[in-house]
Amino acid sequence: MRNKLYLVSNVNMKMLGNVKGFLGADVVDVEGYDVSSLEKALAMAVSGDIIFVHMDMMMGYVPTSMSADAVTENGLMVLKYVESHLEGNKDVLFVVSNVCLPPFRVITHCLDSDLNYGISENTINRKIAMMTVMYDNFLMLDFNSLVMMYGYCGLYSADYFYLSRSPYKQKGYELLKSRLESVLDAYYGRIKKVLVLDLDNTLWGGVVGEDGVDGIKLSNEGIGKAFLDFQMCIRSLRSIGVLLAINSKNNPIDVNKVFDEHKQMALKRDDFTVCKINWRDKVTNMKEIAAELGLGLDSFVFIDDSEFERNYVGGLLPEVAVPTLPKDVAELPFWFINEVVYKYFPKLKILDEDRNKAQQYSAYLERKKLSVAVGLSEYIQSLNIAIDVYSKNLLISRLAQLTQKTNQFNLTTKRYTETDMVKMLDDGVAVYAMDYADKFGKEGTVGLAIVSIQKTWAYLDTFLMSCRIIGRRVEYAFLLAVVRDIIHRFGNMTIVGLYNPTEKNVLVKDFYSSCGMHLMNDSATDYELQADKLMENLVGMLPTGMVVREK
Amino acid sequence: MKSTQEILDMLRPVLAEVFGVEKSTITMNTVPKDIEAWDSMGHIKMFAAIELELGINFGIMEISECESVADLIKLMKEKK
Repeated sequence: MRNKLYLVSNVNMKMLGNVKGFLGADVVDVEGYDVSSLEKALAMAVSGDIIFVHMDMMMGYVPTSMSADAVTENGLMVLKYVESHLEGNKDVLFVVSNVCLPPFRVITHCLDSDLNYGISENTINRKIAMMTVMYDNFLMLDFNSLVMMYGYCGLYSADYFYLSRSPYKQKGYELLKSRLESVLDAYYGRIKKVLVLDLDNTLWGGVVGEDGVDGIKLSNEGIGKAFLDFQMCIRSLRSIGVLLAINSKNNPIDVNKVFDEHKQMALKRDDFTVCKINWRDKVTNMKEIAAELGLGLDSFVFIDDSEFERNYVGGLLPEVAVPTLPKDVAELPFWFINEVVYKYFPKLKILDEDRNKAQQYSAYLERKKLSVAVGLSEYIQSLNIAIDVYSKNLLISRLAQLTQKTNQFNLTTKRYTETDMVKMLDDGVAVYAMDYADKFGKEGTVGLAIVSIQKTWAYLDTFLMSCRIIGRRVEYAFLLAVVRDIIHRFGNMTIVGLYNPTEKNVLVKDFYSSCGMHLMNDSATDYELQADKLMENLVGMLPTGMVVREK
Repeated sequence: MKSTQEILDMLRPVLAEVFGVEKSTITMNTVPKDIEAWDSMGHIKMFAAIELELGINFGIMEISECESVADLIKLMKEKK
């Protein structure tokens, strides 16, 4: 069933209906913007629904005779109403737009005569920002930044406002919709992981093989500055956890020279986790990048100035996102932020996990090299793997992120939000996290098990591991620690392993049977075994040298 | 200057999309009461879509005085 999005606004939002392909949710316009409209939306909303509150203070500003205090009071009243219902409606998601400063003022240059200018808007925005920090089911849509980016004149239409109380041009509604989608994509984890880049005429102007290292356009002047700024944007994206890769047709020697000798390269060789610089076709390169990183093709965004390459990669690998670059090079940075970052890499919070992501993948590739050199079991032993399994002091945001992003080693592929996870813990469901470390470094939290206890059965509702650590038999150690804790806390139950086949989790099809569990009667996918028996099996399967700590 | 027929051909896909009707429904003689979705809000949506899709802007008087496809085409002729 499709979720519903309830729209509560003080302006006419019906023109959103003109915008195609809305959000994958059915939009219900509650009409009106006051406590009673919110009450109406809340009464209708069921689990999984979204309430979008959009307040526009701009148009009302011209004729208003309200004092700044009254304007502030009005805005806060709605927010306080929302706040008082957040805890009681944890399964409903609230998205609220912030507000922008009004451009209309008759006082022209004498700013000091209106000391109240902006006070209401700033107070309201501060309250909204604070609520996003305090509540998991409350998100902010940064309308303010949209107005800054496209300008009042670019978004607003006085004609439509006076005729129908619709304040925006259709372009404005489209941008509002795409920002709303971006916020929701971030919340539900519908995001990409890797940015794959071409080099010539993408990261710099010109062709290095022809123009030489000194001839390419990359500098603090003119067109070169547009490419430099584009690189800076990419670099900051990397710093919040997006992996970078190169897929280009060049002589590796030329490219190495650029990395070694060009003073203005903002991106360094080490910033790229995988580089495919050769003369093969880009589809083959793309597939290899995906295989090396152990990620599905739907985790990738490919940026290339050549329409031929974009059509070729996008045509043969439809899972890869291939955005169209602007014709004008000067628009690269603006385009990148609005059409690539907001669309494919939106984020609500930056976790420590994100900051260390690129480094972790480099360690992952190092391990892979070693595993090719020696046999698998020797290799695992040589890693000095240590895992920590614990059910207290859980990092809920990371665990929710794992359920959203993990596809391959994921037995049931159930997606949970932070709010869902908190609710489960409140309901007494046992949740286990696993942290991984080895001699190459710490991977952080990479495993999650959710166990629901019912009478004498313990159901493995979720059992997943990040693809970064697949193939090291860690899963057996993790399950062992979980089963041991279940026996300790709840007794010798029947462990039930649920398996829900998807397109991507074929890898774990036989996981439970490999632990010696057997198919349940009347089921083709679910396995069971008594906990003590399972523990015995798993102890025998632990690789030598692996340290399992239970906290 | 574009002919009446050419302008009608430009408008047809835009109006059909906004009002959710077949392109053939939109003719020179179409007036709001012929199309269910062409109410006062539909009227604004139509002009907003024309602005975005065809890049033609109208003023508030033009929008409020336009009462048919024929009026709309007349307005557009004045613009080009």
